[in-house]
Amino acid sequence: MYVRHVVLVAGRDLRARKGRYTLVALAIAAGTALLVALSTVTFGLKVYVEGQIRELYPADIMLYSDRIEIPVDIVEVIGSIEGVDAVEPLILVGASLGGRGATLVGIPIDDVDYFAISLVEGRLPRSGGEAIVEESLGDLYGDKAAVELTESLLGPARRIEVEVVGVLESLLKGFVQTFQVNLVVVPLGWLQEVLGAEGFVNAVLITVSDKTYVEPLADALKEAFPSAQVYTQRSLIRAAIRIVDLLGVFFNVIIAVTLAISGIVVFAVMTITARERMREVALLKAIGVSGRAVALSVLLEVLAISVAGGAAGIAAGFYGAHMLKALLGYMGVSFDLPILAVPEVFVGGAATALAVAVASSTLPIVRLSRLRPLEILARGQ
Amino acid sequence: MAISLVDVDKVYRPSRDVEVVALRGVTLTVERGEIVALMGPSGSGKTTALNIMGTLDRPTRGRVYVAGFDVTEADEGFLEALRLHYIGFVFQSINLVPSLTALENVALPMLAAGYPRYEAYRKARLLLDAVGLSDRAGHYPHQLSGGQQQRVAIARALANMPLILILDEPTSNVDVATTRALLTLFREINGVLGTTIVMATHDPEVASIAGRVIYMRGGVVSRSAVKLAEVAGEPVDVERVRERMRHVFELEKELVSDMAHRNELVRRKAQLLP
Repeated sequence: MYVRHVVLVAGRDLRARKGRYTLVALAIAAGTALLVALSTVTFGLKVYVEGQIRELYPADIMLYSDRIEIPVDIVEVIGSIEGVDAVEPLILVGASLGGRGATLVGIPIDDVDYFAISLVEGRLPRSGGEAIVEESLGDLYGDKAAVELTESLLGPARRIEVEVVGVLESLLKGFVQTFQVNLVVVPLGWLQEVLGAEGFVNAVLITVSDKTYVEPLADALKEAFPSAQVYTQRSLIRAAIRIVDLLGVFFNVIIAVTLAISGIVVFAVMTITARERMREVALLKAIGVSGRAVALSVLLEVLAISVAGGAAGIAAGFYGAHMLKALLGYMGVSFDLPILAVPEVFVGGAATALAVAVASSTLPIVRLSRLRPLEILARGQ
Repeated sequence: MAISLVDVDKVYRPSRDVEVVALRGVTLTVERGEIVALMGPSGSGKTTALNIMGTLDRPTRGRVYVAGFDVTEADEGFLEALRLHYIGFVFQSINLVPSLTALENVALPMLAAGYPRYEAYRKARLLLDAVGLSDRAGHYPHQLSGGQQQRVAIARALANMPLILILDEPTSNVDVATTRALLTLFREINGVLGTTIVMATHDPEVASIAGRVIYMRGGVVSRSAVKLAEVAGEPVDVERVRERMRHVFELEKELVSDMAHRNELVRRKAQLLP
């Protein structure tokens, strides 16, 4: 089939109706822009959450129990396994501090590097009874504070006095409140003594050199400690990503509604245009231009419009994501969400623009290509 | 023989209970190179007959032959190709694509037929020159008068050098002077290209250029008369027109020989061209 006449008719019609087709392109651009902006933000959020989990939770595996029942000797046993880089025992206890929820953490003070603690002010604890707190509890710096432990599987309710000697940088600074854990970090040996749990911990962090060891080791730990929970970094990330995906579902609903509106606009404009072009198409078919050529000509216009709208939408969406980030900042969410140029999102945006335009134009195109010239020509005579 | 209708009926059914008989047992033949006028009152069936001859409509009964092909039950793709290469249409009012210039309107059927772009536009210019509109090539239809639009439509209808020209009330929207000029043009086309012309008209002056007039009434051929006494329009100087169209012929022969090897319809048409 020859296409020169198809291109000629399509090109001239695009020019003749440029105002109207600009409106169609804008409708497509709006849907694409929202898709790209929200997808970019969702992607950035996943990257951010994953990064934060890796930073907060540097271990590949975490063995955790509700009771302080894991013997510290296990550290040496696990540490001797091939491929294991580091094993750190610790105690994590839910607490409250001056009415605020907190997490009392006992770590081996000799290995603070493992926990990547960076101090904002003060110093690390040197002896029992000294503690460092997160910035969110920074007002306690230099004071003595009472950590309240409620009765739990870990033991009876009790009150522990600590002296706050340093403030550590909050890892999830400014992030959603549920992620704020108000860490109170004390030496492990001292905490074990205070809790009457010498030789036992309730958590062990394990880092391996070869990530292929993670799953087999996690399985072995599950078998050895059936009452404890074994978390891998990957499973935590997966869980967090699932939460982000829920947000993504909400975004997808917004995107779907916007794309549906874009599709309706495209359909309405193309239907009106098809109606207006019936005489012209009847004439073309009467002089021997095939129905396929007519369909191809209109399809070519739709493709040109959707490419223009899609490109504008991708650009607007990407820069719109920056604006969305700024808007979130203005609304008080000040975490540093990375806005990344993700090729998959751009390709998805372009494909969606094309799909919406083509799907919404199919019916008018089919009607035009199947038009019987005589019906229109007879009406016009 | 250019066109033949054999015992053709055409019945429309606008609704389940209503039947309109537009043609009843029509048998007529148009020879190659003839100018035939269909005349008759409104509703007599002349436009229906014209549409069936032009393959825009199909008979309910009977057989139709166009340029040697039995088109009665031909598929739509074949009919589209036949219209493109063999038949030129000039309608009463809907004739030009509004978003295309006069030149592009004339070039369009050639581009659809597969002419190279440069050659299509070159020949379109020659055709516009032949209908006296070379200075309006870049004008859009809305920038042309009714008569000029009809002349562009004629140039467009001639673009693929059709064997048959079908004209449906071609002068109904133009003034007397333009009518005369168009009639002269039709006679020139017929005289020089040997194009068969079939036209429907109410106007005896238009019908006067026909070698034969077929009168229709109530969907049947009521009378067929050969030649009216007087021919309207200027006398045709065939040699002068032939000279004016010489470049068009030369180009057409060149292009058709180029295209003929890949298109059976074009090959057969080339054998029939003058």
